[in-house]
Amino acid sequence: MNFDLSETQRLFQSTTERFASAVDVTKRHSIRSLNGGYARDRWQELAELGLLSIGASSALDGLDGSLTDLSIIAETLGLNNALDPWLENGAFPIRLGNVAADEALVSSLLDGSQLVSVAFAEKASRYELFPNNTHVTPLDDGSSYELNGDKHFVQTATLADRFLVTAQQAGQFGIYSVASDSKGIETQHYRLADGSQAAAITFNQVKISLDSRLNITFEQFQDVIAEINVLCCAEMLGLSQLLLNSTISYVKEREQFGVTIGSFQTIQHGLVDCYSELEQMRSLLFRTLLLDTKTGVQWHANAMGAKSFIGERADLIARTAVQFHGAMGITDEVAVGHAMKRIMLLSRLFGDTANNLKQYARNS
Amino acid sequence: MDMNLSAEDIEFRDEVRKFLDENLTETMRTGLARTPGVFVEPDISLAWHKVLYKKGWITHGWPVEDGGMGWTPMQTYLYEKEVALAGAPKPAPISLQLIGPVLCKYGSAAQKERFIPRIRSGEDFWCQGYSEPGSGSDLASLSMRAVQDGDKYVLNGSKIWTTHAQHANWIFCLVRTDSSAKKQAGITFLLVPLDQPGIKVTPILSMSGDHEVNQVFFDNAETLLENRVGEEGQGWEIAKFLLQNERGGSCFAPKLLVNISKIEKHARNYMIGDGNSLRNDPDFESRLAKLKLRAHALEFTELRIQADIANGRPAGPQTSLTKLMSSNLAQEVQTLHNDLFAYEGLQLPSERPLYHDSAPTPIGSDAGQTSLAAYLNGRASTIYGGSDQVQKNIVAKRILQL
Repeated sequence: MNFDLSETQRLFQSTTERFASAVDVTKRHSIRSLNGGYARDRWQELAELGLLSIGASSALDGLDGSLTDLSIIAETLGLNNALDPWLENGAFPIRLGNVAADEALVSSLLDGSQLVSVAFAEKASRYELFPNNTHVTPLDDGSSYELNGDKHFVQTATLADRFLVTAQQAGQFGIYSVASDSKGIETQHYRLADGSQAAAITFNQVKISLDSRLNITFEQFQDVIAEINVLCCAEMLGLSQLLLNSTISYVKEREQFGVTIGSFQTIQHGLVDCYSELEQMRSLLFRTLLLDTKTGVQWHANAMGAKSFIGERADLIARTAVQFHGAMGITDEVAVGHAMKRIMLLSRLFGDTANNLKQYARNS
Repeated sequence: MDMNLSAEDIEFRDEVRKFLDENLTETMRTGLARTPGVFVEPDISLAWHKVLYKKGWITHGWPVEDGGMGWTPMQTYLYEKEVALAGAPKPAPISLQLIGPVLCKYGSAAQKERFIPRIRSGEDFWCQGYSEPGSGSDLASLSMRAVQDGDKYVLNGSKIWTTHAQHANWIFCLVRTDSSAKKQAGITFLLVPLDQPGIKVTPILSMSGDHEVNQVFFDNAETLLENRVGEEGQGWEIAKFLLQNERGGSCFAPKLLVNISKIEKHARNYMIGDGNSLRNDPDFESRLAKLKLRAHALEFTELRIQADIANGRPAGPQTSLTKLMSSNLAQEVQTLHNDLFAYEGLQLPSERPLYHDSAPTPIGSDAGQTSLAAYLNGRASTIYGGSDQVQKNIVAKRILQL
């Protein structure tokens, strides 16, 4: 038994660390204020460092990374409070393209030439993954479909070249690759918790070709969601570690009543609680990474259970970190607030703590 | 023990209800509903302030001789409940709940004559100069200095987390006038006009994107000796009186109960499959029920304090208890409110205010658009007015005598 990282994994870790740590709070604000809320040149750099290629198999010119390899990147991004949408616009569409063995899509994702957003969330369906309200219908010409429906929470949509849209054809699940400038697409852009931009999108009689459908089943889609759930866990673990580290430094420096506030038992015990939670989060993440991912519903449920456990604890650590930073913790000037907001987003991606717990209870 | 409404109480409640119904405009209601911040901006609250002033209710809780209404605790409670139900904004709490009562109790005749009418009318807008960068929980360690020079004090230093200093024309400050005395003993309470060359106000943005607090810098700023409240060295006593008013004596529960019922209403609109709404989801239902019970327990804790005050037993450190209970409960209510909105609850617009036409169109409902910012701003409630940790120390020491 061995839980140490391999040499290659340590290399991924240090590469990610170098890339992500270059953005401080000031730089973060300036990148977030750009059109689209993100800098495309950073995305290019991410691609060139190979941090996207790890998500694809060698058959598709990827580096054949394991889920553990990917989780190391996610955790390191979290630990550095990264603003890069590696998880939502990198790992997520790449894993979908990988499962579908879509060579053209994956290759354009790995080299950074295309930025792709997955349009999966429907307002009326809450956290349900099946696209109840988005439909494709074959057109009479025999060579194209028409796409109709509404999505929201399409992350980084402003900068996206393509959307991967979940839709049904007479009850049959599918994912369709749609150019973002297609006729009939209406977008309403808005800002999310972590300062990134998303869009609510209406697809109104959008004409798409037959070959825009990815070769992927609903079960395979859920397999990918399970993987991304685990990567959410890893990023939240990194963010939680960052929150704990920042708070420990802060309470060692901040003096009140003539002593550092870290000398007070209430602060010490609060941070011990956070530390204890953090260790358990890491342990459950490791357990989940080592599970058999070929068990279908059971694997999906285990990933959701881990996310429920880790999300709830990450939230507790974020609240404690903000509280122990006092009024400073409420401002936009320190890392803790940004970490708290990112945790809120991640813990709710594909389902919140309660929702995930329920799935775990039923199917694990 | 009774909670019966007398015929007069019912008449009073109906009068309040009718008054709110006739005078509270849609702009004011929307202004409050679409403000994610802790405080409503004066462009919304001032209009309501003026209506209440005209009616004579603006300072209902003050001593009768200074403009109070002499209501019974039951009437105060009924009033707060109606205000919460109607969704009325709270006008200038720093002027009306903090400095006003201080001047009533400690102000000189001249100070009362000068400031009280202008506070009541809304002509003056006050902010609070308590915390400093190095003095938060340990407020008594504050270091901003005031040195007497002829008929005035000269002030140097800085105050931080100053709510709405960008709108205020006066600030009340705790300053150090004697650095040789024991730390609490060297503190004096001064009233300082903000519009002068020696004062600079710089904004601090919250993680929600709201601009509510500021840092205020004093560089040889001045105020006349006549603007000192009480004696030199009496500042700490006054500060404690004010903090007790800030922490309690108010009614938080009615508003929280209204917010809980709003969650319930929204949850009925969220379908979660099988024809069931989120309201009937067992997990959601149990969270909602727990919050309701906590709010009712808080409600009666507040009522017990009100009754004590009316029976000549002034609220002391119990206000720390209600502050702890209400701020933690408010955060839990905000959490459930935000969870309710799922992905919609993750939107965080940077534009302010959100009640103007220039605000971005919400993704989904109006309430979903402000939910996250309100949640984030709510994190401050267990920090301001004395953090949870400070309140617990007060309760341990002064109630449990540990």
